[in-house]
Amino acid sequence: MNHRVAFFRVLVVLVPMAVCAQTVQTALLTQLLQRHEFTQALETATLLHKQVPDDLTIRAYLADAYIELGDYEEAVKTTQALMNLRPGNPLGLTRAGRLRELHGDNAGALELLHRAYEVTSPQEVSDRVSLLTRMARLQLHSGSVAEAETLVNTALGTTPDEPEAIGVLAQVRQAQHRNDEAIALLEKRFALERRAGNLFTLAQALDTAGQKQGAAKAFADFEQKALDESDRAANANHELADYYVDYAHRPTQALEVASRELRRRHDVFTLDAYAWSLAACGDYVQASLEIHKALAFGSKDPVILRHASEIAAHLDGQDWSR
Amino acid sequence: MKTKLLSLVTPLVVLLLSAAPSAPLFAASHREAPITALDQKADITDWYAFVDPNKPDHVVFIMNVDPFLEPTNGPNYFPFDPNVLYEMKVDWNHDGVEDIKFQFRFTTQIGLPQVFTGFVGGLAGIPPITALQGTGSQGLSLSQTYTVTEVTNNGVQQIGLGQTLSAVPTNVGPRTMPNYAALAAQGIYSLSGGITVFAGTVADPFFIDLGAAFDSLNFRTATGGGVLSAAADGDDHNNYAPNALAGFNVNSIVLEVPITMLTADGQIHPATDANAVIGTWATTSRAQATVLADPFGSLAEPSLYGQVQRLGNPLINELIIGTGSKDTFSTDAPKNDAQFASFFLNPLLATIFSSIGIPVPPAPRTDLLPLVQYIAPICPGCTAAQAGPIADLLRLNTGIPPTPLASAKRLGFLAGDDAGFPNGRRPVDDVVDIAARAVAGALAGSKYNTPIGDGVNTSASALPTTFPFEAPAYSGRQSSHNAGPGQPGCALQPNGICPTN
Repeated sequence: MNHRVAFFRVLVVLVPMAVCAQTVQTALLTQLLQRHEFTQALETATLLHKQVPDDLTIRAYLADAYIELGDYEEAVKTTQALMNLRPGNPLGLTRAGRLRELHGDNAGALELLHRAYEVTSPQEVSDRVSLLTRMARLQLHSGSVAEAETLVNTALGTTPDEPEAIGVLAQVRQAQHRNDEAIALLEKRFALERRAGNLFTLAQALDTAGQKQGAAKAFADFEQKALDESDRAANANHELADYYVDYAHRPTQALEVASRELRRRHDVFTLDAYAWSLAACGDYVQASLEIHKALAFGSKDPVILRHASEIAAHLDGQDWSR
Repeated sequence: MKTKLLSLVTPLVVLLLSAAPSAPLFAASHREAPITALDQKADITDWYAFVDPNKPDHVVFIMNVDPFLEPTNGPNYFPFDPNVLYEMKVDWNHDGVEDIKFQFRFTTQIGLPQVFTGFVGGLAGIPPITALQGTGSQGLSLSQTYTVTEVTNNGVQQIGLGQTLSAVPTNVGPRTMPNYAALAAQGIYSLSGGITVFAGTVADPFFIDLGAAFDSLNFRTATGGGVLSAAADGDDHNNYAPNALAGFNVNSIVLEVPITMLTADGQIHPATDANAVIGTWATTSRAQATVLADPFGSLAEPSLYGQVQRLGNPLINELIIGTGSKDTFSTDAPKNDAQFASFFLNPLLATIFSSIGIPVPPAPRTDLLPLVQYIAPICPGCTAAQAGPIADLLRLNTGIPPTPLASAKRLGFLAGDDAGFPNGRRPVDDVVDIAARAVAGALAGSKYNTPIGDGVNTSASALPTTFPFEAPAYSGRQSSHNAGPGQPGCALQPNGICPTN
């Protein structure tokens, strides 16, 4: 357990009636979300929300927990109430933007994130960089490479070493077929933030660029690192499942990893990883059912759509293929 | 993991915690929650529902919004907000959900775009304003019209279709509006189906010693510090403390409809029949951004409008609901009020009363349930199954005969005037004293009926006994908040000034 989480848990036990108890519990909630302990975060957020229903931050965290666990109906309800309580508040706008993105409405998501950006003080540097980065990614997914580049460069102009922004700029460079620059950026990002997920993206870029030897080394390192993280809450299980299916061709291991993650959450990306693993194992009927669940909320994520299309093709599903 | 948790987490925690809202203990229903303190135009100050003493087969609803309108405050004064949806709602089958509602939407017109003020008359060739429409209305540079829409499960229909309904502007002064009372009277419209409507600025009929209440219940010594003498308590016509609302205007929508529109079977019922009792409340809403682009999607069924405030019983949000829940209370629906049951059944204010020696019943305070459920004494005909959910509604037994307003008691039900609050609410009802006494246990029996009061027993404006039951707006030119000699209701006091110490 993370030391800060442990510290806050002890505080909660020691001072449950103190004036600062709510502040302490909110800090604990922050830690739980940052560590991707979403089920515990949902429990804590629900408890705090009952105590102080008007607290916007707690409502936002409650929405975060619902989103990450894949309970989109409750996420939408919570976020709508959050926006209604204080129209135009950035906490609500950002959660709504995320839900619109997951719903396949990139233009709508951009509209809300832009509004959130406008109402966020320039002094909140990390928040504004985060918003610029998210807008850049959405523009990229919408095919607007130039707009994405402008946005992400604005973000990096403020915070040159922001790993998420570097990752999006790398995607921009890949879209511009400037693979060497993309690889350099992804190497920089991994050096800044040594997460397994970042290593997987680097390995993919190396593979795409035809640097097979470097890619093999990166994939091997990634697998080891992802396996080390696999039982933790903050893990790279989605990427690991993808790796086993698409690169290592070990579908049984992919299904084992995806199944493990599915026991924790049912968000669209976990459902996709599970469906893709099932398909790799030859169970296309069940894979089709699971990918339907992933698409039910309206996702237009290109990877999920490609998986759905290939699964449907195996089942002679002409409608799906279209 | 493909999804990265939103990074807008920790920094905004600090941002929002440092900006944590605070709210006063109570303030009538004026600015009672953080959300309405920030959105004055959508702030419902008071909600009234009563059987018309002049037409006992009709019910009058009054929805007042936009508090503390200073009469001199030109040049644009106090238009209704065209972006707010104003609604009056009625539950007739006791489930806490509206069965019929009346919606009001306003539109603003600018008639003299080159003129620097909203209203002008008796100057520069522009005649005084003597009419809301046509000749005599040339000086209404800023004017408003509105529509009334009835919504039931059977459909939506506009009431008064073909009629232009003008909102009555505020009373600018005698040069501009030489006969304001006559001008205001033009704003009363008879619509089809026996419906009457008025919308405009009026003198705020509410009354309270707000300064003493805000100062941690520091009521005036002359009023017994919050426990009234027998003489003051029995006086329905004079004040013993300053009325903070004196001299302030408020925007008002008044609607009178036949009782037959408000009952489940379209009939009038005797007081002993559960069908005679309706639950009423008012809401204000604004168009809101929706989470999903398709607001009518199956997920969560979000509405195009987000509720800003609701008001059923007076002072519930002020006196009962905790500060950390006030906005949620304001924006939620009455049918979900079970979440606030702990506030209703064990109010903090009762504990405060107890701490200063006022006897109060022990929790759980089931004696307060008549305010939030359909039970006796307001609904003597209701069975346990008809009590409905806990819901803050202003319940009105339409079968109880109205009391002529000239003989109405300020303490309403508590004084044996069964046509008064908490059986509905009339402008004359002293809801501050009634509500405080109810919290102290008056409904639980005479043992707990301490004569709590703020010493303000009557409105600063002479309340009319006919529609729209509120006095015309105070004049801007002639305005005074009447803090000095001559303050209405203070005639019995030395020099005509209500004591302030």
